Amino acid sequence: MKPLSLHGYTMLLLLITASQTSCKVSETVFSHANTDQPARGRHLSHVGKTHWSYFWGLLGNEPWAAGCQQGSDISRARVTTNPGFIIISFVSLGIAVPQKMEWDCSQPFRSGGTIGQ
Amino acid sequence: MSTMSLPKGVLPFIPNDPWENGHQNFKHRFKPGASYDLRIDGVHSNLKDYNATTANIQWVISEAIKNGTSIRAMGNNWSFSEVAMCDGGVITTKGLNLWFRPGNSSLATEYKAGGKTKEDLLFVQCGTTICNLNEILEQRLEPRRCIVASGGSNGQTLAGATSTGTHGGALFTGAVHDSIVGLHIVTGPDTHVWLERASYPVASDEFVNALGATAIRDDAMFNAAVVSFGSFGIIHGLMIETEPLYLLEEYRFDHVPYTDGLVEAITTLNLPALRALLPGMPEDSDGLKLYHLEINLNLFDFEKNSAEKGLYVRTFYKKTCPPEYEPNHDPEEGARSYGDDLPGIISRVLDVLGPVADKHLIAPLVNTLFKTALRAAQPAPKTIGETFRYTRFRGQLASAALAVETKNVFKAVEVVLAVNREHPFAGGIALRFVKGTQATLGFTRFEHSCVLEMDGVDAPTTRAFFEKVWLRLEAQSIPYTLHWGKLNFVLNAERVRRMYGEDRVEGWLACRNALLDADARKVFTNGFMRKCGLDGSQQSTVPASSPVDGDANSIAV
Repeated sequence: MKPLSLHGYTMLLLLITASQTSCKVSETVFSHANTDQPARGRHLSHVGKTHWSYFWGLLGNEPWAAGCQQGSDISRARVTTNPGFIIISFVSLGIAVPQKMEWDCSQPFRSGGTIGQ
Repeated sequence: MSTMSLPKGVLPFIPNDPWENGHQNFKHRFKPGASYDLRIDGVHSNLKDYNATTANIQWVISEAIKNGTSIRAMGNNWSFSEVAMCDGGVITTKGLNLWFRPGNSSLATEYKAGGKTKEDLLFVQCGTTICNLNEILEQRLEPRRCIVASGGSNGQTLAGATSTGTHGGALFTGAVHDSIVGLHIVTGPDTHVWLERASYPVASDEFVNALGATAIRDDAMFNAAVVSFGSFGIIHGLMIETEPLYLLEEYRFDHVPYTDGLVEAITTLNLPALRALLPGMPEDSDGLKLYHLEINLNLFDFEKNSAEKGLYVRTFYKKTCPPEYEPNHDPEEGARSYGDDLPGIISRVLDVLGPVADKHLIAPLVNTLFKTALRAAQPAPKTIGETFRYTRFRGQLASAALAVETKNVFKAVEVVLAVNREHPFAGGIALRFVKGTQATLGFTRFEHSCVLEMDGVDAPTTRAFFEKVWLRLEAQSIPYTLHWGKLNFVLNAERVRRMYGEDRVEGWLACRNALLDADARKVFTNGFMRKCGLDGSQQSTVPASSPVDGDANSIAV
């Protein structure tokens, strides 16, 4: 079998890197530590699909519902990217940019009650 | 399952398959279609909604019995061990955070006669997190109150923290569950009970009737149920006793030489002697009382009688909270820190390199990360809720905690040091001193308990280290117990009986048998309980003469 050229090795390395979905870069912002779901180690409780924006944001997506229950709001949001997303965005010169978001909803904010007089 | 057939407030919950615990120590498979999420619409805490949730829990239990499925309540998925897992399904409880102040008519006569008032109590639903509870008590109630004890962080639900023995370092006060004075437990499709100690009744019949429960006032039953890791039914509500809001003022002492004098002072809790060794450690006074004692130790930068390579002692003192003080539970300003994947990467490296990593990588790694892992200094006094804050989840971290009698703590430390010399540990250790518990299977069972915590990267080498430490303690006849919610894979039926004694284990089992009928026991039994001989199927295998508190004749397992 013919050994790969330098170009081939480079492409192979890029492919391996891009396929490593566990290699991700993420930033998280949170307003409140509480969540309305059990904690999941790797992800937040709501994991969105990969969304694509095109032509430098000229064609994007409508905001989508977070799905938090009454009295609850988004408490934590995380944007992740990975080598594959970065490569696609770079190669396409920003024409196609994939992004992924995760978020938590907070526990509902409740007023207190009284039992008895 | 069809959503049309579910009661209002019951939603299907589809756990990831496989399901991973929050700290990513294990994966688990639940039975499909057996899990539910309980919700309450609205933003007010109404008794009607609370009682409707009781009925929903009973419905879930009836379904479990009908389908021959086990179930477990799931709070924040915090535990490192599989104590809260089961083969069937889960009821997620994070949506259950109603809270109520008892009125005077809800208090037992005896409770009021003891000088207590309704301000001393708060009744909360099981899904209320410690964080949530802190905000309610410290910011929303008038007069302001606070919890008596907290774990190191506050993301657990109160029911979860209570059930597994979350402890903190309250030297004279006890663990989180030691401030729980009443439990509302759903025990079957048609049964639910209000459980409190006969020796310390807090709730009146009016309160119990408001819940529609059956009252059980029994010390043994309460002490068994309060730390029962979900085995006694579903804990729906908890009555917690609180204190007037106080502040915690930190006094920390770095580079404290590990001397015979220090060992003597700590093991005998001789505070005057300790103060002589820690210049600047205050004496207790009316306005300042020692509350928390903690010692941290870097196993790779430690030498006896050396200040430079000494211990890190942390104390917190309680002081009066000024009326104008405003607690702030907002998230703290972000700082640069290592990413979530780093522990996993370190774990992989340790796995791959094996003994080479042990010898050449672990020590520099621990020395580099040790200072960042220490709790940041708290220069200004803060409330307990502000001090023990939310800990960001880091995956693939391993945490094990064992409790020993304080008089034995440095024997346990010597064991850890010795094992570390043979098998380096990619982590650090901390000692927290906690008042002993009355809970039957509370792991802080020694009158003066010291919890030795070992926290590190979750890798086979780390788990091997933990096991070596545990077995070495047994070989040296040092009695110890293990935290139910942390890594404790060495537990088995024989060990549990040895750790707690035949009487305690049999008493716990008897209480469970009395509280739950056969169908309910089956529903609330999981693999962890079977492994520990707590499902009631095993007879004692430990000879009656086998000592519990350790003497030269203890049998090493």
